[in-house]
Amino acid sequence: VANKGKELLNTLKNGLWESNPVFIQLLGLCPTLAITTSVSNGLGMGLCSTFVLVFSNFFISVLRKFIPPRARIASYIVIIAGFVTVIDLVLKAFLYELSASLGVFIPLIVVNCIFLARAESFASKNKPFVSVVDGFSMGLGFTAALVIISAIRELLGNGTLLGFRILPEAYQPALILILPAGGFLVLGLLTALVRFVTDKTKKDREDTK
Amino acid sequence: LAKENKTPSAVRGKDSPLSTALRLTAIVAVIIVMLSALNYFTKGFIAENEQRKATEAKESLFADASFKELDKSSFPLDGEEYKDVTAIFSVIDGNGRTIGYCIDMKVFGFSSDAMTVCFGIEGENAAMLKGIRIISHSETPGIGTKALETTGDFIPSFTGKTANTVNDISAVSGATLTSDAVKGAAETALAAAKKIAGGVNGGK
Repeated sequence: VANKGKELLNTLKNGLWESNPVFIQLLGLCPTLAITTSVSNGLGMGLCSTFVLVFSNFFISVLRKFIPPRARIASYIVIIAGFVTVIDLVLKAFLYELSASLGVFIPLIVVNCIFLARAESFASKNKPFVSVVDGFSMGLGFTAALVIISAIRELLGNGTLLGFRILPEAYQPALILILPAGGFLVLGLLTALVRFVTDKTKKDREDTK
Repeated sequence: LAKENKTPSAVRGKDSPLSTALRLTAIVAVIIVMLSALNYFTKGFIAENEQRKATEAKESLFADASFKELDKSSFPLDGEEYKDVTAIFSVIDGNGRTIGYCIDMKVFGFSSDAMTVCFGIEGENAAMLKGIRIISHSETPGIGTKALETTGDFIPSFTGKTANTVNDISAVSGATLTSDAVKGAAETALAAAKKIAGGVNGGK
């Protein structure tokens, strides 16, 4: 039992930090760069992706013995696309404002490689419960990354956070951060920072040994 | 290559083409049933939301008025320049008089997805803009959207403009494409309103 708990905890930690989908695995960069212009977009996209990841991982894991091996990618895509459409319809029906601001990115969740990567490398080889935990943790890791990137871009590029003005009116926003180029800059710098920290902690650990 | 794969188990077992096709079909069928059910359930809510957004825009332009949708094909608006006019409403006050028109248009700014803009037009012969409202858009946040803020300088400056003066509005710097697109559409909407008013008044 203790082992199982530890395994779950590791799976949970994995997505958030050790193999963070954005900063470490560099997965799903298209939506990451495109929608991180404001925190509300980043949060919305992250939570939608988490929802889809949890459900697609669960069903792919349940069906892992049923899914035909030779057409497995096609099966994954159908299942993922199904849940993305669920999200799209539910948002349009009950959270219209969010759906208007996330716009074209919702259908694009389908082609986000995080989902395929988790389906192929985790859900298709593990039991449903631990796959759900993996989907949840990868989703949260993705959400955290999006929120961090979008907070930096929105604050410096527009002077606001979640739409509220934080920096004084006199601050001339650095528009480039909201533009696509700014997305690359922020992502690159943050990835470098995360790499620096992980390398350093690893080295410290080895030194103390 | 095909020969290599043709081990007996691949032909008859779980890996056989028939099994693969059947299993994939089953997965697709289940997803289709699920989505059809959800679509049936959410259809009404979605239509309601879109309707509400469009109505709110009109109501914020003309308070205490009712709106009646007019048939675009009954007006001489088949020219190429009017192809982005998506809906026309007459604005009716409490006494049943027509006091203006709302014209919904698709406007192409910077994004390849069109904005939907509602132009409220009033005055004798429908020649003056009462105001404009952005119903939906996907312009770049922080850039194109600078021209679309209802509290900004640009959108309110349309109020009171006519076909001759609409060009005096200056575009928002940094959002020139978006501003110019909205200005161009305002001219089209005014021209369309003139024809509509002419049509309704029997060509006066």
